[in-house]
Amino acid sequence: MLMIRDLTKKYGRFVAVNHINMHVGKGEIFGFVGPNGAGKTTTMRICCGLLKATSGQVMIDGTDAFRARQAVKRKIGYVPDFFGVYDNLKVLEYMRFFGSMYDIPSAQVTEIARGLLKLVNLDEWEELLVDRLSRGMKQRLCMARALIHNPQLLILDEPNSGLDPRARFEMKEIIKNLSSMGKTIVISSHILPELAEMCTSIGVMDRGKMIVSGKVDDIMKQSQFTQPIRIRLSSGASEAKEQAVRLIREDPHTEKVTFTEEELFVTFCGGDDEAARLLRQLIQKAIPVAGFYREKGDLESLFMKIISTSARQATRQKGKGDR
Amino acid sequence: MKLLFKNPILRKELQISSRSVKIPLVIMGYNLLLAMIAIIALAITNATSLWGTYDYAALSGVFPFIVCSEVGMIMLFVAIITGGSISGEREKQTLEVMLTTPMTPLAIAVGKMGAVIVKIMMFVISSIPILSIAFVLGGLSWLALLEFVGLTVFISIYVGSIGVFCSSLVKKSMLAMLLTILIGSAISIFVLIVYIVAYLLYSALSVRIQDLSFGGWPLVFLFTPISVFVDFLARVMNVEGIYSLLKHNHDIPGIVKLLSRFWTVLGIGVNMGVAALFLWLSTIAIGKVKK
Ligand SMILES: Nc1ncnc2c1ncn2[C@@H]1O[C@H](COP(=O)(O)OP(=O)(O)OP(=O)(O)O)[C@@H](O)[C@H]1O
Ligand SMILES: [Mg+2]
Repeated sequence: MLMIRDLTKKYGRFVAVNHINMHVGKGEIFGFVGPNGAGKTTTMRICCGLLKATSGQVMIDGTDAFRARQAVKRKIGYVPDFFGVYDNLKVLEYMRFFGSMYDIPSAQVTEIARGLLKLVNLDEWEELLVDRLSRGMKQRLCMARALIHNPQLLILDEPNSGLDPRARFEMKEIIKNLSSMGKTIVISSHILPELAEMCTSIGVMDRGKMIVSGKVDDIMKQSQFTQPIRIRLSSGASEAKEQAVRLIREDPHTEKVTFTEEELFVTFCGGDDEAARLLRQLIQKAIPVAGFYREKGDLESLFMKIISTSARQATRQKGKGDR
Repeated sequence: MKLLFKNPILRKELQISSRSVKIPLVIMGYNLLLAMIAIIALAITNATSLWGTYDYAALSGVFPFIVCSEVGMIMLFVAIITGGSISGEREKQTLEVMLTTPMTPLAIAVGKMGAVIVKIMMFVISSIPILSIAFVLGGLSWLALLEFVGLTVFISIYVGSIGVFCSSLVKKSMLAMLLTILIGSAISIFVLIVYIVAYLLYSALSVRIQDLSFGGWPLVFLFTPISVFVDFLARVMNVEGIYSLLKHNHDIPGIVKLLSRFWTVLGIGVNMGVAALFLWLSTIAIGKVKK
């Protein structure tokens, strides 16, 4: 549905998007994650034809987005990271206004608009002036607005920013609903866990580069690798503890061991099999293991790790460049 | 036609303005002002007899005052309204949203122009009672009144196109408005300067100058819409218009004289061409994809 190849965007000498590639299949929900200034908005705006790319290619449903702009506009619904509403227009009028831009006959546009307002739970507010709506309602209105021409691809730029938990939940339900209607959705956020629940694929971006992208399950598995192992020994076994620390340090997958009175924390870069082998070794040496626990992958910490790794690499490269 | 009559922006603008209390208030103020000007003009042209008997013929002297002040105010209103047209959408960030729809920059610009013309028509039509005093009591025909209404549409399109252009160029509505007034007057002043320079050159080269219509140079005034109003005023006040300035001059080629006879048509044509140029420039500025 959406295919980005080697996309680059430079502002003067500053590279905001650096040769990124991504592919979003039909019906997928693609989560676009990255810290501030990563280049998410820039990428999305290029896809919608609001910005010119420096180089690269964007294909939407098999159509070249840079060549056939008008055709592509009818395939995309874009919800920007701002509202773009008029003060003096009522909710339904706002919908009709954008509906008429897509040449929808005025007899049908009201019906379509009402349907969409119902979808985003705004059907009771159609006679309200737009600027009276709350932030969450405005966000949902923008969503309905972007759907007025029944686009196949929906691009949402931080639809959750500034929303309270309840509004976030509603937004998530709406997005899931849209996905079940067969829409392809690209959604950006700063927060990975928020996206992971509903997305089928994610791409992590930082400083203009796509660092990781792929199916959520694959990335989750990867994240498990970075989790520490917590080992609890039965109390009063201080000798056994020393022995255990020695043993664990010998394991090639161990990066670091720290301990408190009763627990050991092992920074372990192996998978489940390697962890099981370590446990077996401990038990064979008669170490009184009372608990052996590895937390499930936590996307937030994975995200932080990815970002900090990329930051380290960036500074290292910069250092090289300076020398 | 569809560009104008099924234009979403035009419809939206009218919807919004029908809801605001500002417009009726401004229309009222405008008519009060106009009435005041009419009374003052009456007092001036008819000072001796203001409290005595009326000299109805002198009423026709009021008419140029009214026309000039109305045209002046219309130009100002158009500059104010269109000055915020595109920059306002940009400020609310609705322009950006619109540009992701199939809406073309031309449709956006035309919608804004249509909206300003409709608003100006409200002003003009509301002022018809006051105008008709000056026109009809002054011995002028209803046809002249109709022509005047038509000319206000013409001047609105002209100033409006400059306004939309400026508004698409700069971010601040206020600045766009000032720029509109500046560009609008600059064009007319430039035309005047060209004329004066030509006159001075002719004198310096001591070419025989019979009168101000030397060498057909008055034709440069076709490039200012003001001349169309001057011609209109001259015609309805029983002078023959700009043509009469030129017709006795034997140095001017016949074709120029002939052209000056159709001053209104030509003036409208030329200035609408200029308006089209500004509109075209503004569509470029609106649709320009950021580099
Ligand atoms: N018009 C511009 N001129 C120069 N630099 C720009 C311009 N627009 C964006 N940038 C820069 O490009 C980079 C990427 O910006 P972008 O808005 O795409 O980031 P983002 O991932 O959407 O961030 P956020 O999470 O804050 O929305 C930023 O460093 C920003 O400063
Ligand atoms: Mg952004």
